[in-house]
Amino acid sequence: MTDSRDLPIKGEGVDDALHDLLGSAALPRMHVGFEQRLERAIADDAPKRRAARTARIVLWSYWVVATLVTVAIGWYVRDSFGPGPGLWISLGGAVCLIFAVLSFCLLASVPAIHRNRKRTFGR
Amino acid sequence: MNPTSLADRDLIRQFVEGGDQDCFTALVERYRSRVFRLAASILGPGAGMEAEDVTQEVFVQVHRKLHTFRSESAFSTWLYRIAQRRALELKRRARYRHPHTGDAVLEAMPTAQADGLASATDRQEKLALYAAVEALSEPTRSTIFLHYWLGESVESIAELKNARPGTIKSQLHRGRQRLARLLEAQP
Repeated sequence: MTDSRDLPIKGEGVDDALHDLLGSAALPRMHVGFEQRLERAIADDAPKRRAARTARIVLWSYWVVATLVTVAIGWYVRDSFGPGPGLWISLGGAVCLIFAVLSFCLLASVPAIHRNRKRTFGR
Repeated sequence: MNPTSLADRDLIRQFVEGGDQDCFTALVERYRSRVFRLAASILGPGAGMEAEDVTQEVFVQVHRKLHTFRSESAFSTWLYRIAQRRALELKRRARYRHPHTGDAVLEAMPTAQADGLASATDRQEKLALYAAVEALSEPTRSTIFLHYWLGESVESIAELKNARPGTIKSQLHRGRQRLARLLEAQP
């Protein structure tokens, strides 16, 4: 049985070709001061996670309140102007849409809070 | 007692129960290089900074979650699994954003010959081989990188990947066969 090391690739074995390619490639090195950067990242980790959790709680509370307000408005509109379903749905829908847009805008600003990675070299 | 002389489980216990940061630092000292090499083997040449980012994220996560470690496996196994998962996530995201071989990879590959045409041919062949290595599936690709790029022995790769040496040998064998087929199929 042929050893896969000897398999020819355009005149040379796979093993030699890999040694030639990867053996001469630059080796990765950790930069000086890793411990200090790690210490800072760990110190920053807890407040960031707390902020992200708070943001999530605020958002979910906002959705709950928005839904309750929408239902209340719909109910009020139905009582005041009669049970016409078209009016009820359109007014409720409009309110829902406004809340959805507001929530989306708020959500869009959250990834910055969520982002927990600490880039070390500012790239 | 000097934390560096303690076993992993003692360091973990003292950190979790007593909040001894020196014990955590000793764990970082002990494993950071291996975590970094494992991450680098998954991310490939030219991604040294990303491998360092992964290493940092892994230890931040370990610092946060060490109390959940239940000693059912070795600490190193648990740690390497986290590192592997993190590096693979980053690799997937990077591949989605940059589907082609990046400049950093090309710069990491030296050209052997000095003259123009031979150098260009050599570079083309190297790029073809590199692309073929990149086309390999995990865990074969990272095993190839660990062995040929980072110079790890079969035994140390087996330890990093929590596998038997025979499995690693088999991955290397299959990887070489697949590379030969991929390159022979090229014009």
